Amino acid sequence: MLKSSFKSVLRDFTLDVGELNVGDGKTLALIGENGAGKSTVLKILSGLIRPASGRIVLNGRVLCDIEQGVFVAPEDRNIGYMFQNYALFPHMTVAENIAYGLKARKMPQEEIDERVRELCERMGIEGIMNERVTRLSGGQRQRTALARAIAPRPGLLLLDEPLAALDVRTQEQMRRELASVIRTEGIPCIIVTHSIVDALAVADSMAVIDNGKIVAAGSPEEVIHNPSHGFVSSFAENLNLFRGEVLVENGGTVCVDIAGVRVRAVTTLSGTVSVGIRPEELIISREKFQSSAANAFRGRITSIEDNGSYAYVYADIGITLAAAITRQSISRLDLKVGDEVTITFKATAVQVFV
Amino acid sequence: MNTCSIQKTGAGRTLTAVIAGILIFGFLFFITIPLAALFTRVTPADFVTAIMSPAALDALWLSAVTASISTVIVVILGTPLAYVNARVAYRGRNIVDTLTDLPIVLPPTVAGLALLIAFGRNGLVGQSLGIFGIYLPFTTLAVIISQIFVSSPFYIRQARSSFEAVDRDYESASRTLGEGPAGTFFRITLPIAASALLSGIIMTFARALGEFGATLMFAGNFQGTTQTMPLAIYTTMQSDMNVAVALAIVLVVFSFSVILTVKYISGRGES
Repeated sequence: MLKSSFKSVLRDFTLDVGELNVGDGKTLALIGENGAGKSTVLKILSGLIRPASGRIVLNGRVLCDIEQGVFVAPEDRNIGYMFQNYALFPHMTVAENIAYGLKARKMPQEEIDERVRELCERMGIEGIMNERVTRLSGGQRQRTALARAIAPRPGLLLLDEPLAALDVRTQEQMRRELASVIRTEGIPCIIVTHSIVDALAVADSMAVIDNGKIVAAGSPEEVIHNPSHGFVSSFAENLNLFRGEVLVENGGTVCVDIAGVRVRAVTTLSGTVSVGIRPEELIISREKFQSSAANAFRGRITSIEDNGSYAYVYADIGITLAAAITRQSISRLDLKVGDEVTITFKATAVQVFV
Repeated sequence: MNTCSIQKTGAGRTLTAVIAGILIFGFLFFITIPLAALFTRVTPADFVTAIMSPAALDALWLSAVTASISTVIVVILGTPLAYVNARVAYRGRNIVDTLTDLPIVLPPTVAGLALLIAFGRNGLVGQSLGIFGIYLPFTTLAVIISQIFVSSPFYIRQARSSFEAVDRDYESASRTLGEGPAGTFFRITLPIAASALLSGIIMTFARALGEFGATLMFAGNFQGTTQTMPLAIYTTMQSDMNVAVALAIVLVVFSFSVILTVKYISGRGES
C-alpha cells in the first residue's frame, strides 16, 4: 500500500500532488499530457528527485518525510522503475540486465540464475537471454525492461509510458501482456501514460494530472464519465467513449447498444459497459463499400476540426463519432460539413470495458 | 545564353576542383616531407646502433616510465573532476573548466616557469617542502609533475564529454535496482564510457611522452633521471645526429599509431 503527498517546484509550475495512494495489488494509471508532471511524480516516488515537501509511505515504511528530515535513497526503496526509453544497460546481455537488481541485493548466484530463467520463460524471452540488448526489437526490449524491474520483487512498480516506444501493432500485444503480468505479480503499480486506452487496459483506478495538479481521480468509470474537468472531457471526446448495453443478437453476434446505435464488438462482458473506439480506427467513405469490417453506418458530418497533420471529422450516426484522418484525405474526398458519409470500422476496433 | 552559362559553370567547377586538389596535396606534401626526411636520414643498421646507445636507451626507458606514471595519476585525479563537471551544474563550473583546459594553450615554458616558482627551492610550496627535506626540481618526480601539468587537459576534456554522453537514465535505473552511487559508477557509467575514456587516456599518454619545454625548465636535462626522449633528441642533435633521428622516428611512429588507434576506438564507439 502506497500513501503519498508531496510538492516539488519545477521549471514551469509547481507540482502539487495532494494525495496519491495505491492499494495492495492495485494499479493506478496516471494520465496527462506531455509536460504535465507525470514522470516527475515517478521520479519523486522512486527517490531520484527530492520533493520540496511531503511524505511517502510504502507498506508502512516511511521513505520520505521532508519535515522530519527522512529521505531514503533510491537504492534502498525497493521500488521497480521501468523507464520510457527502457534504459537497458547497453554493455550487458538480456540475462545480465535482469540479474542486475538481484546482484545488487547480494542474492546467491544459483538463486539469481533461477529467478532470471523463470522471468525469461514467463516473458517469452528465454531464447534471447544471452543477446546483447542493443540487438533487440522493441517488444523484446520492453519485456526485458519489465522483467528487470520486477525481478527483485519490488514493493511498488512504476511504469513510465511503457508502450510509447513501440509501434502500433506491437503495442496491442504488449498492452495485453503488460496487463496480465501486472495482475499475476500482484505488485502495486503506477503506470504513467497519455493514452486512455492504455490506462483502461491495465488500471483499477485513474488519476488525471494537468499542470502539476491532480484534477480528477477515482475509478476509470468515474473519471471518464463524470468529466468534472475540461481536460478530461476533451480526452474522452476525442476517443469516442460511450456507455452502452451488451446485447447478443440472433446468431450469437455480440453488439453494444449505444443510444439506439448497435455497434458490433468482441467481448465477454455483459450488461452496462463502456466502449471506446479510437478515432484512428475509423474509415470515412462517400459510399458504402463491401468489406470484412462488421460496422458500417451512414451519417452526416457535423464538424471538421483541423489538428495540424491530422484532422478530426465528427459525424452524427445517431451518436457522434470522431474520425482522425489526414488533411490530404479530406481534400481528396472533398469532405464538407453536412455531407453524408459512411463510417466503417472493425468489431475488434471497439474496446469494451467495465 | 543558356548553354553559355552551363559551359561557364562546368569550366568553373573544373577549376575549383583543380585548385582544391593543389591545396590539399600541397598541404599533405608539406606535412609528409619532413617526416619522410627523418626516415631517409638513417639506414636501418644505423637506426639499430643509435637506438641501442646508452643515451637513447635511458631516454626511452625514462619516457616510458614517467609518461605511464603521469597518465595513471591524471586518470586518478582527473576522473572525479570530469564526472562532477559532467553531472553537476554548480556555480563557477565554467571557471573550473577553463582552468583545467588552460595548459593546452599555455606555452610549455610558462608551465615550466610556473612550476619552478611554485615548487622550486624558494618557491611558494617548495619552501615548505624543503622543511621536510623534499626537493622537487631537477628530479624524476619533476618530470612527472611537468607531464601531469601539460597532459591532464587531454584526459579531463575527453572524460567529461564521455560521461556526459552516458544517458542519466542508465544511472537512475541502476539506483532504483538497488545499486548505490559508487556501484553505479563502476558497474554502469564507467563501462559505458570506457572506450571514449580510453581514447582520452591514450592521447594523454602521447602528450606526456612528447612533453619538452616544461620538463626542460623545471626538471632539467640529466641523462637517466630527467632526460626524456624529446630532451634527448634536443641534446644528441648536437653530438650524435643518428641518435636524435632514431628517437624522433620512434616518436613519430608511436604518435601516428596512437592517433590511428584513437580514431579506430572512437569510430567503433559511434557505430
